[in-house]
Amino acid sequence: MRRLIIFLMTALSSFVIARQLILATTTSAYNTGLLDFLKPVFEEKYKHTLSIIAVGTGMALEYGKRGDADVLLVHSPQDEEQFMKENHGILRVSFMYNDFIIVGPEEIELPAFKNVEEFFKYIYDNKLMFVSRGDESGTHKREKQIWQLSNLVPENEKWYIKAGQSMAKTLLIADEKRGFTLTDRSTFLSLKDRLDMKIFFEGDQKLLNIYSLIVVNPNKSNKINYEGALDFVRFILDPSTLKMIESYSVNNTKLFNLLFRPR
Amino acid sequence: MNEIAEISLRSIYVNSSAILISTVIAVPLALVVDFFSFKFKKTVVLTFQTLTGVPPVLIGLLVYLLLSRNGPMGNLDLLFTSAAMIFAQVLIAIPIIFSVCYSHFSKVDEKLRIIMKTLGANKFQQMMGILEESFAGVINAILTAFGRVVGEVGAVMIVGGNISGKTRILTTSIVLYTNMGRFESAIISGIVLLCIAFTINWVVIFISNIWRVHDVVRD
Repeated sequence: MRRLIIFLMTALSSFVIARQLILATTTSAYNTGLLDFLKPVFEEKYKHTLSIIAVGTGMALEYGKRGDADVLLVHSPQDEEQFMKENHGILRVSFMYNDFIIVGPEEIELPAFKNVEEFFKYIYDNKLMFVSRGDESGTHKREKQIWQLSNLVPENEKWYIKAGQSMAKTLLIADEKRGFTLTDRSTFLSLKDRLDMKIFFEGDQKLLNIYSLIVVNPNKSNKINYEGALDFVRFILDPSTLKMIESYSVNNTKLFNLLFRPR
Repeated sequence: MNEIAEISLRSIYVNSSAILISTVIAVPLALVVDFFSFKFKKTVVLTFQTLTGVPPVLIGLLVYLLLSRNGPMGNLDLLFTSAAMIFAQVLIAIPIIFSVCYSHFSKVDEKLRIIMKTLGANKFQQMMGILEESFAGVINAILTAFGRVVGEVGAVMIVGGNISGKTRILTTSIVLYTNMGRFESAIISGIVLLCIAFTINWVVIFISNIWRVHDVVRD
């Protein structure tokens, strides 16, 4: 019986928790490990407890709209602009980027392409299998934009598969099905050893993947840790942090580039 | 390895708290519903039985909307804490424990109830008698609920957020590791989860056996 009481008390005590800073981030940034690498440095410097929640960009923005997150790290510029326009956010800073690439089965040979629309058109015309994220993530949104730019609608085609899953799972499915997919370079590099895939297209301006920080409008709820969110932006924009981001690497591959030189 | 140990401990804490709380609520409730007859008894029982079939992710979504900062319980600041995960799991476990317990209680021989009454047992003593008679059923109910809760991932992911060092438990870490392509870590987490489930099942059955033997000796 005493055990039971102690157990219940510990259960109840966790109801009373310290104020924390909630960062909702896109999975592609979280899965690289960058945020877990920066977290202890931030907590040491600013005395906030940082809770990182990794969801797709769509969900992260939704958390922002509902006031359930204090600061967002996302990568879908169009949606972000809309988010700011609707007054859900108070400050938006774009600070780092990597790029999207199109990968496919190792054994296939394709001609060279001028731009990404031409490549998508080739996939469409030849009915090559294409695996889409299909989950309203930043990556999926970019893919949809490129289809739109190419004036093509793949939605109901047989060769077009919607995975509805994370980037890594989508890559694994594409690998299994011997199909093509649009991915961010970081996830591809982190999984490369497991995949029989190579890069087919890269380097187009339209494939730039820009990450931004958004401070959620504190009027959303009196629970929002506005001070903490500003501190987090201050921390990220600090030259020493920027240098850490720039030099952050996995398997000797640098994953992120800065949009500006730290001074 | 350190991380896995920490995640495992949190898993055990969240799951066992959820089971304890729901046992404390559901078993007496089932007992009372079984013992007394009232107007909507059938409806109550049927409702709980139906609720056992509700998908956990749906409960997760409801709890998220409840605890969301602008939701009805937003002031409690519970979203993305282990308390929120326990809350969701309690909601998942209560209907299961209630339904299984109720079906065992209602099968207790009518003669026993009459004998207890004629021997002058008060209502509480009579209920205790029914509880003792269906002890194995209660254990069965708790283990069934534990099995459901221990493997649960959708609801705790939604309300807990899978925060490293805070709300990450074994099931959600398996999802994350798989998403990151770290299959080795995912498999290790899976094996640990399996071990925990086995151990707890085994311990509970062992304890209930001791209880039974003890009972026989006492009689």
